[in-house]
Amino acid sequence: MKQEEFDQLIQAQFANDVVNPPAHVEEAVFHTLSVSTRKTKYFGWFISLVVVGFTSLAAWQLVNHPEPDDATNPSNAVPVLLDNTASVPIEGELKGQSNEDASLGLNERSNEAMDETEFILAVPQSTSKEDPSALTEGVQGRILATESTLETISSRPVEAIESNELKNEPELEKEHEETWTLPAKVKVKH
Amino acid sequence: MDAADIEIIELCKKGDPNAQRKIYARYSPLMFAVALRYTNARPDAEDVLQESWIKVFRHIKSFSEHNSFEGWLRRIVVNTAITHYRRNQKHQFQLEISEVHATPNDFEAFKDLDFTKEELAQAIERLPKGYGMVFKMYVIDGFKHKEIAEQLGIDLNTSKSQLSRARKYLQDVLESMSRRANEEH
Repeated sequence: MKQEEFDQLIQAQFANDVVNPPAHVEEAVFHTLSVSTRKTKYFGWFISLVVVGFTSLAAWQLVNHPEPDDATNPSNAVPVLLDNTASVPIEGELKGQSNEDASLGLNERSNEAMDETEFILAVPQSTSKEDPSALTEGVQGRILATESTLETISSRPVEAIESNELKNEPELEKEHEETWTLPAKVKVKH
Repeated sequence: MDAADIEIIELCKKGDPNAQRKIYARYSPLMFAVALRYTNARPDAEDVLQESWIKVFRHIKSFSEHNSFEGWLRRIVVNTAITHYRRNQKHQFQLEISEVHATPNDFEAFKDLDFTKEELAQAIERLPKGYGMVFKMYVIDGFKHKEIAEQLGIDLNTSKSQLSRARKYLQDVLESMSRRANEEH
């Protein structure tokens, strides 16, 4: 008998073996499954409850405690366009004030790094703890003045550039009286 | 796999408890037989069967109907039994390949396999654990050497050598059983 035959005979003897398991195994299997399914379901509910709770809390806070809408709060401030020339008087105005403003540093940097045509996006912040509204009004006035000086253009004019294509094309050269060099382009002038 | 089986499996994938009961009733005897083959005692086989069914229902979504469901179940049981065995015995399957004896290419001693199933089972049970595991996985449950090596955490060549040793050992056991039976008659 060959080794393969021996293997096949052994395999045939055992392959279709069946033995009925005791009933308590079935109960144990389905009990474990139901417990695990219940745990998964409860976990899902718990997560949903947490999400709903946080959402409700956030909504309640928004409704009952609205954040003050003024320029002293940087998060509420509207970003505005400032050009670096307009920032000069602000610097002058702010000199002497005890509280050094972040926008000053920003304007200084813009003076160094940007040329005259560039604009910076800056967020106005309070520079004085005593009277922030006065500064805000001044800044807004200057912003309006700056905006009025801004010119809106739809496109930038570009000067026409003469094409060199025709210049580079080989001309019909007349070396001697009867000899012509090719390739060439013959232009007929009327 | 017939259409009814496919339908039950699809329902099991959706978590239908009735379908789960049906599939359990249908395949448990086969799975328990496999579990008994790979464990030392009946209580161990029951533990393996329970663990295997929980794995089956948790991973049934990954089963593709193009494969054999029975083969898939068989593999789950064997893998669970091996894990169970390792957990309990901390058995190592390492053996030196150089120790392998030459394996006969044919089993001339057995002109016909005139042993009962119980006698064969007894002979297989007498194999050393490492040999027995590889032999049962390869010959009875149709695992490849690569799969056996992965499952048992051994080298591919070790799996091959263990199978050769198992065959040789089984041949000796069956011969001695045959001789004893002849002497009795």
